[in-house]
Amino acid sequence: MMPLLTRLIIVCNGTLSEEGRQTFSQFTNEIIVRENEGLDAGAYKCAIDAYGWDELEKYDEVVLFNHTTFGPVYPFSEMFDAMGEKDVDFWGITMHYGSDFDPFGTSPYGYLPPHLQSSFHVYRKKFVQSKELQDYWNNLPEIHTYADSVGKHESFFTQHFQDLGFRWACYTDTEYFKEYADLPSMIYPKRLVEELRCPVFKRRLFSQNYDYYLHYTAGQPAMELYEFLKTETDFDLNLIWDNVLRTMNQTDFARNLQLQYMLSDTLRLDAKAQPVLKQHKVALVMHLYFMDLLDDSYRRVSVMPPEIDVYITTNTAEKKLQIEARFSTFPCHSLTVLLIENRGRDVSSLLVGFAPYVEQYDYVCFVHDKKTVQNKPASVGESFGMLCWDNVLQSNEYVHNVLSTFEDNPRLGILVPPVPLFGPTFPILHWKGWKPNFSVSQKLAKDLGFTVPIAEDKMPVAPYGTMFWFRTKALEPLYRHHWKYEDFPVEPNGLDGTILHAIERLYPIAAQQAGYYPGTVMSACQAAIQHSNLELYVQELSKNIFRFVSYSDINGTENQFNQLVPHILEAEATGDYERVYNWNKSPVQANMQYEKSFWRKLRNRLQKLLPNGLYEKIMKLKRKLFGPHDTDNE
Amino acid sequence: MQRIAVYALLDAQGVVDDYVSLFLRELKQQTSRILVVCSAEIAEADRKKLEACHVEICSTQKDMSNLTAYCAGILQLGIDAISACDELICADSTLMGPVVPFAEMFSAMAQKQVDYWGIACHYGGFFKDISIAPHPETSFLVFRKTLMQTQEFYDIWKSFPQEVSVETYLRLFEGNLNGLFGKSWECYVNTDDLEAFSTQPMLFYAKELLCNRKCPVFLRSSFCADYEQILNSSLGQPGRELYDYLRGETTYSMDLLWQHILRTMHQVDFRRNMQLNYILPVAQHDENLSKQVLKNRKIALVMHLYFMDLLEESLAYARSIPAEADVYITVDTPEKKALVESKFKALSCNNLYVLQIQNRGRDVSSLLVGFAPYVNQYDYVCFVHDKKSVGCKPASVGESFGYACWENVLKNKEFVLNILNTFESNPHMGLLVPPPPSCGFFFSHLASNGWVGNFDQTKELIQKLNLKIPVSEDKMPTAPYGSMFWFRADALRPLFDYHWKYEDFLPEPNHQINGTISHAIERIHPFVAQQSGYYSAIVMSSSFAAIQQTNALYCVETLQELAYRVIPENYFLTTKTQLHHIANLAQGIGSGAPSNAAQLNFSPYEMSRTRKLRNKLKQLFPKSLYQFMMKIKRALFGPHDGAEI
Repeated sequence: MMPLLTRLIIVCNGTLSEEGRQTFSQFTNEIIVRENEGLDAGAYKCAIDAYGWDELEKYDEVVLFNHTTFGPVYPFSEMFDAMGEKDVDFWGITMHYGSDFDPFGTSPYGYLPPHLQSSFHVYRKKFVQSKELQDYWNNLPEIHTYADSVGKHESFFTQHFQDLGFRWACYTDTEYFKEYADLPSMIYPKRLVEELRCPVFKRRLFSQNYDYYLHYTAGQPAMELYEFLKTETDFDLNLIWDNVLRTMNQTDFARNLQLQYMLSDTLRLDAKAQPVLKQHKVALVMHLYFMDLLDDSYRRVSVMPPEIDVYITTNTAEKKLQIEARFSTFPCHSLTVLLIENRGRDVSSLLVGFAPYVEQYDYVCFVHDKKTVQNKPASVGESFGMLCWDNVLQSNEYVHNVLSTFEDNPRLGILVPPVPLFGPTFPILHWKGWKPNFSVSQKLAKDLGFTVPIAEDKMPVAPYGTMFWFRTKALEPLYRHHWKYEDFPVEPNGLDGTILHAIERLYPIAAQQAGYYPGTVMSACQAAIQHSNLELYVQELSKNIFRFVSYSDINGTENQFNQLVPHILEAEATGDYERVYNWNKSPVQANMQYEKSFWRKLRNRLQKLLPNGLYEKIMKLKRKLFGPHDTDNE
Repeated sequence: MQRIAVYALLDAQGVVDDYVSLFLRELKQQTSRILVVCSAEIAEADRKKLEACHVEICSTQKDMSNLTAYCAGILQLGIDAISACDELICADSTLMGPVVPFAEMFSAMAQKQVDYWGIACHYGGFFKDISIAPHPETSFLVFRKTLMQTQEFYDIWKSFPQEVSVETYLRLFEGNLNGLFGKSWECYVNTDDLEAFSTQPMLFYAKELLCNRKCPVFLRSSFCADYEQILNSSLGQPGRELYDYLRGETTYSMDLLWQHILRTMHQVDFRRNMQLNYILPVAQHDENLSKQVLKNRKIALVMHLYFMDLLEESLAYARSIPAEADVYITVDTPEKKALVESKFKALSCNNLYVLQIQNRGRDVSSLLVGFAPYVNQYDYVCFVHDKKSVGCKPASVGESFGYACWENVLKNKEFVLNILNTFESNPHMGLLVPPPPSCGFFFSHLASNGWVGNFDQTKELIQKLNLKIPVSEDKMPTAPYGSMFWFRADALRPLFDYHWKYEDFLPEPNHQINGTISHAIERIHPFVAQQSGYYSAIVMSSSFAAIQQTNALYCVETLQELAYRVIPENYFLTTKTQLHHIANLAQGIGSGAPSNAAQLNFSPYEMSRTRKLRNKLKQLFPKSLYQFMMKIKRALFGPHDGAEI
């Protein structure tokens, strides 16, 4: 932006780090740090007050912009040149097409009119000089919440000044997308950037709750944009990652960016695989405990390319001999069998046993012989093992594809198998993967100095079962701690709640802390199984949920059912299920049906067709005659 | 050793599949006589097939269990014939095989001193309150002379009830085999170490038994097992592992396998158990195989293009097709024809044909009428159309549905080659379809098993086309929701042979969002393929599979959250059962609940006053008047915004 600006004031709501201040001071020495009040509107007002209208009136254009967008993908000059041709009073980059009701309850209009998004507004000289604009900012209503900022400022501004006779324009011409989505910059970010040369994209694309995307799309928007930026532009993706990894929860950005890699187990991404092994050092680290599984373990790891180094840890001298004998002819670059203490299991194998060697390597695969004996029938534990092995070491080709994936995605730090979701592990999603290990994990994260967001209601992209691939740099925040055997509990261990379980969940958090993102990896044949399973779960669970509530998308289903929950609980307690049935006729439910009703559609159509004044008159008459609609928002 | 056998042919239609013939021929080498007891009348051709195996045939009443069939057979053979033998074999048609000759098993078992033996052990357990002791799987039992020479042995059979419920069956027989026949038994396959892993190794460890323990047979139910039960104690791999093993490591004919599966099983059952979901790479392909396919096979892309504002996008996806393919594009006006011809000049393909068709039947008539004269020239065909479900609100949902179709059918060149190679390496595969949509309102479609109100119409068409395969409203068809898919021309031949005419379809403007012939045809494809001897499978590009997995996981997580607000956390099957139970109570099915609650389970539109009014009007008025009124309604208020599929 700087080449286009004569003067810049930066307003920071909250605190500003020393590093941040230094960065900003490259551009301006006018930096205001204020209390975190009023959101962007509060900050804009603060800057306006700091300049004073007399000063602002001197400029051809005043730009109000904030940090909620990334970019520019194309130089801003292109946009300013294009907009220079337009004879308008104010302009912006992207549109929100509003909605016919006010979800926040803060809009003076009672609905959200179409508006320019407030992340980037440009006022022309004449507009700045106008009493109307100056009054607007001078008398800006108090804004405390996001709802206030949207209802009272962002969605209000454009319509307000249009009604006052000012002309405005939007740089990104999204009229075509209007019928598709009220907020094209969230739903069609790639097409806005690619086809409409929109220079910016929203930060919220990556942190948005996923139900928003599923309401509008198949889940593709953020991923499509990212792929486009990666392959078709020279935009520095690190700018995205630096911010995303520092500020967002991995559950959210992993979903929004579709950080799942479905890799072929038979076909190699060949061109890149060979150089990976030539240029990078790769290690397999394996912890072996059960000698009756030795053959199985041997067979599983034999898919590894022979260029790699193998480290095997075990807990007794006898086992060490056995392993050395079994692996004596294993095709690999070097084999090291390490005797470790029987304390900390697979975790100490990786974090203590292998620690002296980790720095020599770029990529590491960690596995162990898995025998989950706590579950009956044992086929459950065995299937869990299969899920881990198949998604980590499915085949030789698959291993090459994993390495190529790391190579293709320099910010990818750790690749984990999908969560187990069968037999007794089925509710793991409901536990968000933590339960009951959240507090111990949170404490450990704090002790280790991790600052990236973790939350009990968001599932980490963790290697449940502790078999995974990682970029050694990504786990540096863990290795930095210099773990000792004494850090881990003595055997026998608890089934949950130990530091071991915490570490299992912190691997991806450590990667995020180090500046790398976690991803899920699946072999094509495991992905086929996963598809069957998830499809069945969605089908059968939704089938039963839809016996209580109306057909809807996932978000609508959730909202309806949540309102029904107290009635069901009450019914279960009293045996009186009639109330559950009767709920279906309650006003809440009626309101939902109203949203889709014939009358609502008729109303909307009239609203569109008739001049505003006439419509209002008709509505008033209607209300007089029939009384107000009992769930009406107006 | 002198042997005699009773074989229970448990087939509701009395059909003798080729796997039965093979099994009987192989068994015949070990025994002097086989008596086949059929559970239904068998047709002449099937009788001939049996006779070719040199067996005797007797029929009994319908709905019998293997047990009543054994009983009938034993009584038919008579005491004298049986007691003259050393071994009496009782086997049923739930077994397939053998993958290795029976000889090895029989000679190994001849060394054992037992009263009776079987192939593999079922470790019993509890069924309701019935405790079932470990016993040999009853699908294959061999009784020894020591038993057959006792009067009690015959008394057991003589007094056996002819009609048995599952419960009686278990109490009397499976639960009490040892009680009936004594404790001296053994199984050929040693599964002692698997007892902790599964009560039924033959189902859960079929591949292990065949591969490492010389088991000669496997269960047909491996491919149609109750998948929810499978998921209770495994990841879902048993059926797939068995299929891969049979295919890759044995000489057992896949023709036998598929003939039986396709004739008797529901698509969704074998698709899940065999994991017939193909996640194909988008960046690499098997170059040798691709070359071979492009040289030897004829490939066509058929596109129906209607929206000229989407032409650019349609062309972009069409570019994924190999240059060796022929491209057929159907349009409904000469103006569009000219536009498409000039635009698609840039597409590199073998031949480009732009056909003008009638504006009636949309994408369905494009394929079944417009392309019909040419279909026989091709081996593999891809059908797509420009999709704009403007009926969906917000329209991005319809557009995303289109995205999900395109991305899984014509993602890019590499992906298309992988699709062709998948057809080539799976000769029994007839149809590849994208996964059912999950965006927006489409999420709710899975709950109707994909039928979305189109079951009756589809069933009618199934009868019209004389398809004999299993179909049920409770089972999801592996259909191309959205009407974009790949097919082997041979698999859909019966559909083309119906000789569809434009008049078979609704005239435009047609706003009906469900229940039309076009919706029935959308769902009929996999059934036609199944009748022709081919299975249907789901295909995804690896890039879309990532999205699909996120979506499904998100939905499962959300649904779990809802369920676990009202019931305790548990296995999936228990969760589902408990939820089902509460829903029953809430709907008045079960005790103490309101009687009028049965109407709870409907979408708003299904139960709405408008819908009811519509139905009443439809009944009362003559058809033309009704249609006229609906037209007026739509002109005024637009189409019903229910999602289009």
